[in-house]
Amino acid sequence: MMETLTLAVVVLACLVLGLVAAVFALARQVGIIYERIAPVGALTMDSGPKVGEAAPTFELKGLDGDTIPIGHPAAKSTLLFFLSPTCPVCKKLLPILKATARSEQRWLRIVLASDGDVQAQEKFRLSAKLEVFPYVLSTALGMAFKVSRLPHAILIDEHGRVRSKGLVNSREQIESLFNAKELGVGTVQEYLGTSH
Amino acid sequence: MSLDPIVGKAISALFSLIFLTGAWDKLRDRHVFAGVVQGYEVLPAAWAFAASLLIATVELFLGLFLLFPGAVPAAPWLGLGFLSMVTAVLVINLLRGRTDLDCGCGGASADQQISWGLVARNLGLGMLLGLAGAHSTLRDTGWADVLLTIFAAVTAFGLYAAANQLLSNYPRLRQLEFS
Repeated sequence: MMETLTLAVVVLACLVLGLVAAVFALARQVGIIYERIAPVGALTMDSGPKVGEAAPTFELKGLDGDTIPIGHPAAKSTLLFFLSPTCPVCKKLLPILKATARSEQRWLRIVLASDGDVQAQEKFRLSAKLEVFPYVLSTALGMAFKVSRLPHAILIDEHGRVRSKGLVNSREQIESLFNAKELGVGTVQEYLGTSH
Repeated sequence: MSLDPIVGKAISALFSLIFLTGAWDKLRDRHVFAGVVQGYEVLPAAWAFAASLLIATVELFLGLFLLFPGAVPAAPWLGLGFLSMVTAVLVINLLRGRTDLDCGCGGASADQQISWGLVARNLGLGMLLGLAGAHSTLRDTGWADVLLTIFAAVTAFGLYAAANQLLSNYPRLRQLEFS
């Protein structure tokens, strides 16, 4: 009898461990599905202005008080970078953004976009030393581009067309937006779609 | 009330796993974690990086203390103090109405937004730590007890990780519904 009980406990323990592993794997897979279908990487959901289409045009007041045109034909392309003071990944990307602004300054203008409390934004702008970038606060801008998660970047070319867009979490993903412009492919999905 | 020593040991081992994986994640991505600490806005922004390193180091030592329960008998209570502190910061921000903050919990609970669900989770964890710190009876323990301790800690950690994954899935599901 004791032997049976001991054996039963051991078998049950193994089964419980297996079940826990299975439950965790299931939850993790559900999480991965959400990540895949939500815009992660320079992947995009099919919402907002499509790649190749004309970007919605805006004339916004920057934090410095000057007018910043967005989406109009211009001498340089525009990288619209959506961020917020409360987004840690955005902060991680700021040094990369500054380096990009220097190395790509021949053809690229970087505009930071956010919304919310002006004072908090100005404090953030000063503490993160972002004065070199035009900085606009506009809820309408985020709505027009259907930005749902941060940090989000949109590359608009000199003719005012959206060339690539997506959620960016790393230097590679920012660069992938530029590559997409050079290759003429808008999103990772599109690239994967054509290569198959 | 006195408990069997295995209860306390298993709980200590579980929290050792939780704290060690949490500290590992925080130290590995320390710049992101510093941003998280800053995001909570309970300290001057200039202190954020130092505070984040301090938090991760405290967590690391708590994990080590709990791994060897004999060495620091007060370890569960220290853990409870740490947990209460971070939960208080969490509650302050939830009361401010901010749910868009990254939890910054690290380890098995990485990539989560703060919510009342997290507060409830921490209350549960706090009670467990209280059990681990409670007085336990003494008895001779053998290899079967060691196996049981490891089994209980690993299983509970698996459940904890699964629960955290579900907590972090939930806002994403909501987001899909509204997009």
